[in-house]
Amino acid sequence: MADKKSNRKIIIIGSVAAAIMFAFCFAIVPVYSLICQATGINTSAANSGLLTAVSAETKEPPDMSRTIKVQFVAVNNKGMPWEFYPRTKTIDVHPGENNKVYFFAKNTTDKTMSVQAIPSMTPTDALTYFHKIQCFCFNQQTLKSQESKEMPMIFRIDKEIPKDIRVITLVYTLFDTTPKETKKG
Amino acid sequence: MTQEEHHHAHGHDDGHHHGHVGHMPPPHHSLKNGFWPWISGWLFTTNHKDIGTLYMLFSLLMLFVGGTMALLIRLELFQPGLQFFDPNFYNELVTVHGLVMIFGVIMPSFVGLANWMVPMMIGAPDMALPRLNNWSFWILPFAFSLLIISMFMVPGGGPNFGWTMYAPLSTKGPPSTDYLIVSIHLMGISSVLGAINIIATIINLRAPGMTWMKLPLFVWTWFITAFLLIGAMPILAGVVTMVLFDRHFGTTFFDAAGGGDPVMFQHLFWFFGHPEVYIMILPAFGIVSEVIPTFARKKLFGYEFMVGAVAAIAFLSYIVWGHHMFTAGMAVGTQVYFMYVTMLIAVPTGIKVFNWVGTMWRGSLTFETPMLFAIAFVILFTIGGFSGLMLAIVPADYQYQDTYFVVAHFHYVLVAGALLSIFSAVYYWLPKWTGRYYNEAMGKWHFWLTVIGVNLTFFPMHFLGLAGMPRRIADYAPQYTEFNMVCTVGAFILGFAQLLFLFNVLRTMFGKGERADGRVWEGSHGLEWTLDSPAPYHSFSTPPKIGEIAHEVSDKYVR
Repeated sequence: MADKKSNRKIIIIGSVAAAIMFAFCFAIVPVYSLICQATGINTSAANSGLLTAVSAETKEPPDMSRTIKVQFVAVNNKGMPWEFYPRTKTIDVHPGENNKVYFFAKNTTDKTMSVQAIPSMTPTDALTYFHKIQCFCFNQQTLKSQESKEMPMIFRIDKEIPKDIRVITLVYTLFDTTPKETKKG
Repeated sequence: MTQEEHHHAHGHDDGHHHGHVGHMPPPHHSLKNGFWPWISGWLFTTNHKDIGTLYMLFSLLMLFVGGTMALLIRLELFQPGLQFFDPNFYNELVTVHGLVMIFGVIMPSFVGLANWMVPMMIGAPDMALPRLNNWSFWILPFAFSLLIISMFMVPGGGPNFGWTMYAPLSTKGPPSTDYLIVSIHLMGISSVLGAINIIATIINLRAPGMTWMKLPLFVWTWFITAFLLIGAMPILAGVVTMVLFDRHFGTTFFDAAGGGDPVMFQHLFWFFGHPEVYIMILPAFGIVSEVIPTFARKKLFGYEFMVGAVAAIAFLSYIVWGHHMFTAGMAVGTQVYFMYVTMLIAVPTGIKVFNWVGTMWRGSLTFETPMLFAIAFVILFTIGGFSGLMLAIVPADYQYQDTYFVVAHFHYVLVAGALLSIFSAVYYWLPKWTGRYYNEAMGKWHFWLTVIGVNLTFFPMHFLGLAGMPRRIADYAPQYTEFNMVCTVGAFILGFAQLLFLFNVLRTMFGKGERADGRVWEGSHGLEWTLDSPAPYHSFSTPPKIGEIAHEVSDKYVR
């Protein structure tokens, strides 16, 4: 009968639509990052290239007429027992020049641990103008019990950075990424 | 074929050609026929009226469960300091109160109303997919048992991160979170199946002559709501599935350490969450658009605009989610975009409020209980809408966010909006369902106590929020004491007034009260009022006449 047939059609269309929306939810995960990168409306450091390296070579000389203050902050994620702080709290830099700073990390536990530092930045408008040549946040860091390390970070600020940005704050949050098995043992 | 299935399910042998086979009540409507016929009748029923009743009774029960939690919350907040519970249990109360009220009260009661009214309003014999309908309902008791179990019986305490389940609170939350996730999956399946059923019914089972632009507004609003449900609920299912993966399978969807992003949880959640708030208000718009013309004894003003406004609101609801997360870290341009599109929603909503007022303008108004609730809805929902506009403005939201101002806002739209509209609908159609009028004096007492209670509870919260009192905290600074005391007194008035409602509904259900005729109200127009009261168990086995539909509709809308 016609009635029954079109009911079946609506069930199929409705269920497929629901399934597509369910899949769409998972598809959003990569699409979210892509959209953020493509449109530049991102505010997350991972999406804006703060976790990828650029070349240290610059063709043009630095813009000596401008000075930008960069502040560094280090935070331990909940439950992280490590000592973690920037050796340099504040540095004045010129756009276009390469600068090197150090962060200090010490594993205060009696176990070997791996960690990952995740950056974030204020103001978010500065994200796309902040380039990293070398950073301890590019890889996981593993330290043995009571071991400590001076971790370098080399960065350059783009000369195209908008005029109204005078202070940039870069925050690193330290996450524990030690595999579960070793954590228990 | 649905009709035949349905007779088989009941073991009836009525044949399929009778016009009014349903005047004999089925055996499970009385315990006198034995316990097994009673329980199996209700468990296996495929009748839209039975399932509608089950939905309504389930949400009534949940109203008292969620309401008890609300009163416990208000009791704790009567004074500063910690009186009754530790803060973690307070957080569990806040979480489960929200989930129960949204998924256990507002949504099932709207589905129950749709089950009862949609087939009768479009001249259909039943829902298009009666067995699916039975399943949609009977999933719900299991879902909510899981939710209640998660709160009281799982070691480590219940879910304590608010109904929004933000990561990483939920990904690192107590073991009971897994119960909550499965419970949400079940609710999602129930809602999506219900929505598919409603769409199939409205598309396929309209009586000949019941064209799209003759559909009653309640049917229209539910048609659009059903699409919102199919679009939004799977997103919620997906996002809680990701939380489950993060918790147990080592993925890092929302964990920054593994390259995930906790803010993405908020984007996905609110991409579900904003359509969800319209799922909870569009059927209310439909109800009020039915009630006001009846008691104003006038045709509904601007029928086409009402339909268009609902469709416009439904569309806008998918593109405004960011206004829930202005302070979560968002580029300036994006914030401005979300601010403007959010404020745009005020335009179709304004059209609706204007048309309701236009319908009442120079009407012969009488103030029976359903009308009182409908008028209160228009006024109080508008207040809730205005505080929503204030929250939509980015710089203002930076001040208001996560304060009691937000709590005041969403309780004005959900309690003074959705819940009052449900009360209005129940009083309006109860004589049609039971064949008896409820007690009018008791209904009016219920109305006045409820409206006074709602405003006493939630109006001071605006000022508490503006003064800086944060949400979701068991304790507060002493300068907020007086207003919190007022809120608590109001909440208890509101809570205990619902016992009147319970008593009034139950006594009408069990055959007390004046008998009602088919029309019930003086100004009622529409196909459901051409049936007897109580509506026969099987209605419109033969479709209504085309002339009858045209006559009812021409009395109902300005066409």
